[in-house]
Amino acid sequence: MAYVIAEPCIDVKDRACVDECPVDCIYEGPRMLYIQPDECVDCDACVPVCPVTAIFSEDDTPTEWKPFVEINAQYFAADVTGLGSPGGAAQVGASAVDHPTVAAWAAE
Amino acid sequence: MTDTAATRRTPRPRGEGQWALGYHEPLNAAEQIKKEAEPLDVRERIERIFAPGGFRTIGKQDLRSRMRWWGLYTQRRQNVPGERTGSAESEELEDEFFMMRIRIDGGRMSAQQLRAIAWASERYGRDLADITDRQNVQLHWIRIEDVPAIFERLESTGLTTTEACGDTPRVILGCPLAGVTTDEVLDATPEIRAIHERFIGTTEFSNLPRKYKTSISGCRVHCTNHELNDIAFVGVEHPELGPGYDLWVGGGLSTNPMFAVRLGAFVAPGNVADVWSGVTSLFREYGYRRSRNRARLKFLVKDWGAAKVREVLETEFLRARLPDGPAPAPSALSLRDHVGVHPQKDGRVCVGFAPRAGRIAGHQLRIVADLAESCGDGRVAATAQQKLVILDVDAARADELIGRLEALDLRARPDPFRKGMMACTGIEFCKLAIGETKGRAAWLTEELAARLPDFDEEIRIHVNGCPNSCTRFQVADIGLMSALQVRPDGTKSDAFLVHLGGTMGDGSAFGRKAKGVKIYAEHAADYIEELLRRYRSRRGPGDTFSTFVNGLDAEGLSRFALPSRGGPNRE
Repeated sequence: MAYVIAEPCIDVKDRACVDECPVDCIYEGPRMLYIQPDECVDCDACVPVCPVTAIFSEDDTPTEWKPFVEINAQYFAADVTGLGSPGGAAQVGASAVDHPTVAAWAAE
Repeated sequence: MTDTAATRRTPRPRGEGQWALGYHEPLNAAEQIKKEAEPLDVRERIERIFAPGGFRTIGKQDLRSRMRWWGLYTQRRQNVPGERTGSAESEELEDEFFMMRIRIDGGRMSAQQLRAIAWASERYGRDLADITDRQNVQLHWIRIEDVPAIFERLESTGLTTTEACGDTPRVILGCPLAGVTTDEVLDATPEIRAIHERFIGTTEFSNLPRKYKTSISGCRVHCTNHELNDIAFVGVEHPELGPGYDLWVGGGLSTNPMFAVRLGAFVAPGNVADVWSGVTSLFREYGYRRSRNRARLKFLVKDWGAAKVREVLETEFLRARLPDGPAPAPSALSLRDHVGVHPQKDGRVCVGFAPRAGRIAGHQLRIVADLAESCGDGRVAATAQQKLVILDVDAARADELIGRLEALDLRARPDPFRKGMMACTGIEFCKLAIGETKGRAAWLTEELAARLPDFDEEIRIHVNGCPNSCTRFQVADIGLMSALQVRPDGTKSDAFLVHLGGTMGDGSAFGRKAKGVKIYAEHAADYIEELLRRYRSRRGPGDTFSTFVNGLDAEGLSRFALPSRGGPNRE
């Protein structure tokens, strides 16, 4: 199981969670942040610092945002960013692409 | 922004699973398992099926949930790296050996009880024992086959593992010097005993929403850290009603740290067990049972506020008003412990001493029991700082005892680093851990004492293997929290995030994260040495490490905390 970043992060991207994550598994796209599920250690440290309550444990993700479980996971797949599991976001830096569903998300 | 209504959805408000509001359907797996079978009943299966049949006969729900009600967790399989902590399946992460947590309410043990623990450690636990910062002793390497024999011996001395883990009322913290010290408001021992006898191991409180931590103490230095407990009774002198307790609720650290709040209510000593039962019932009925990470009492207290908690407690659970009462006087110590020689009311002394970050051997405990009998009346106590105290020592024999303890590497006159160092279990045995802690803390203790021989101030360094904060990194002078860091060659390395300047008491505040600082674990000694040298060269008169750090603004803290060029963490 892993933690999941959901819709409230889109176009907010506060990044407080990035400082908090002990394993540096939160990666940055143009419109939102994504958690690498294989690198996440399930520690919960990111949840309390998110100013928009965008982060949930996978099994506690609200029904409306369940698709974000897949969106976070697919973000690292070959057909989206191809990042795989780089082992840390700091040396990767921000990516130029979002998950297609997020990229197409209507702005507020 | 374009106006495209209805693209953003707010999730429907969700119930929090509070029983009092009619939510009795389990909302998560842990609640489901508790509902399906009374967790305390696993004891019978342990003795009848699991111990005779071996590890493979243990059902998964019992193994991963209900056995905690008897103080048993599977330990982490050896050599599973920290990066696998979140993603590994349970089978990969759990070993066939158990951690066994022995609860010692109030911390007090007889020599006979300490020998029982030592026996279990030497015979079944590879001679390891950890004194925890909640006055428990944790054994490791326990096989299920040996559990009944250990239960039998422990229980024959009056010790127990009942509800040492799980969603239960955990060990009740008490001052290790209660009843003997010259420096207490009152002796809380009868209240601790009453609660243990009436409520621990009963089905009344065996299904709480989450763990529930209690402190009851009249100690003037607040050595049980009442601010960090779900419920705490803190000794105060009421101007009209005499000695009693100030009631606090809703403390806890972990990833969402909160200090407990006062309800402003005074509790007479004879009323403590009933009020404890009232607050515990309130938690059972109103506590959140949806998300495990929002289930501790602190979340309800934060949402309700102290006034509503007191109102509901008094009207629905106590059916009586509590008198208002005074706040406790703040502790005179920042390192709230009883290491060293302290006077007793009866003219004798007690001798507190420090193992290395809580780690001690079973055979050392056996010798400590012998020393406690030969130099005193056999009474020993664990502190909430991973230390031990021998009580009832003739003052004339204190030096002799201290010498004998030193010979065991147990220090009653420790250097500041031995005295202020704590470490959680860490990756050696803990399935939640990201990094190693006990060994690093012991190494840090030796390194810092050798490098900074003139450092003569108290300094609290708490080493944690994950953000759950079993050793309270947010209230340490220097809190280290395990992290992973990629090296230039692509391999992953143990590292630490750093929190600085945590304080409790007057002006209590959680330590601030040193932003952008992540040190490789092997550089921790270099880093802390550098920090302490900087502090010593810049501090003002009267400063302690935490007052100095808390006098820095954000930018100043950043400058203070960043490792120097060429220093730690620069490859």
